[in-house]
Amino acid sequence: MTQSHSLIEEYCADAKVTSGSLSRHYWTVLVLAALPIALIGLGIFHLAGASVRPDYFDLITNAGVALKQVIPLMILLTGAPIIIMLMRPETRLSGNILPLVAALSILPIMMVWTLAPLTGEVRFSLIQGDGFVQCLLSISALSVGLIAAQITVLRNGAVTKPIATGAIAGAAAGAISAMIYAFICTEDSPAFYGLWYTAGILFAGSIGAAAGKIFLKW
Amino acid sequence: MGRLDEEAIAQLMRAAITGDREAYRRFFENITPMLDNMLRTMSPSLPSDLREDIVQETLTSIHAKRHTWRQDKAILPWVYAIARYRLIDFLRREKRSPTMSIDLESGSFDDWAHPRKDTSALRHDLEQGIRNLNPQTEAVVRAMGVEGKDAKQIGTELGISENAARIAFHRGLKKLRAFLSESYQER
Repeated sequence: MTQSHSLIEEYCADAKVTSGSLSRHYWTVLVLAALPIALIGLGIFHLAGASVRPDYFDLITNAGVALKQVIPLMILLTGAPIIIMLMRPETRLSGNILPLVAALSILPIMMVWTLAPLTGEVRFSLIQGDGFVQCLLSISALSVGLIAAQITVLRNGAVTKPIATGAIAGAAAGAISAMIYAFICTEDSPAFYGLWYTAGILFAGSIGAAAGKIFLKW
Repeated sequence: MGRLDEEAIAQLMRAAITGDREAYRRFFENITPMLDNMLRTMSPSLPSDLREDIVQETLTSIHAKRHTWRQDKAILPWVYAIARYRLIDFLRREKRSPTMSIDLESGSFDDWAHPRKDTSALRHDLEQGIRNLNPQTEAVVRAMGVEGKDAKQIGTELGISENAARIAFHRGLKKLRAFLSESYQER
């Protein structure tokens, strides 16, 4: 019996597939990772003096505040289906990516829309806000665990576009992180969060791209 | 053993996924020569012994990643994508410590599944198709289609009416289309 023949006999003995759907696996891991990361993250913020806004559930009725979580949610909901598709080797990106690009464009457009009628000093003050560094660092830090969780699921797939897949997973992680951060964020101007949430999400995307390049080979 | 078509191969994999070992064995028997053909198309300069190694690696990957195939989708694009990935992986390793010059043809699954003939092959087929027509139709098709003469001129030269020349031309084109389509499918 040749070596290849004996290998095929081994495969035949192991023919049955017992793993469940890729989609269910992905969402299960993502939710199971997001919940403890959210709790731990909010706990750390609280210890650092930045608790969940006491009037949060009143403020959420204000569109400017609600959009801080709605838009990142849209980024997650447009990105996740693409990530799941990219777990199959024959998937092409092309037109599939357009909904995600559209969702990613909303925050910057809101920022520009808000800043357009204003003058230089006012613009700068709105953009800078009180804590853009904290915002950027928090979103990036929260996203690391979420990227790691997604990478473990993606390794179970057959990703043939590791950098793109990692980047979109990073953006999804950044979006979830932005949603968590929004609970404590007191900057309600789209001029602020349009820029810094987008920057945080894109930075998380770059971390994801690097992770994809290293960890998604098979 | 005769070659199975794509749907039959997909059926074998569906059965294999539920635990049918015999179906899985037949799947591998059918897919192995296809993989060899795919890799030959993707990289014509790849030596046969290396191609065999990549076929084996691809079979291993197919087994490891079979859960990523959507059972309601075509199976050959999935197989092709895995084969291409394994080939690119091999070429990357080869690039790091090159022992020979191997090329990767730019192309997709569609190029492998529906290969386009090159210009000289098409010209040959066209000429053969025209020669297959009856003499009068052949003359009309050459005169109108190749030499660019109009129906009146051809009618005068061949001693037929203008209308008859036009009808002969359209019938000739129809037969030519059918001939080319048949020879393309035979590939």
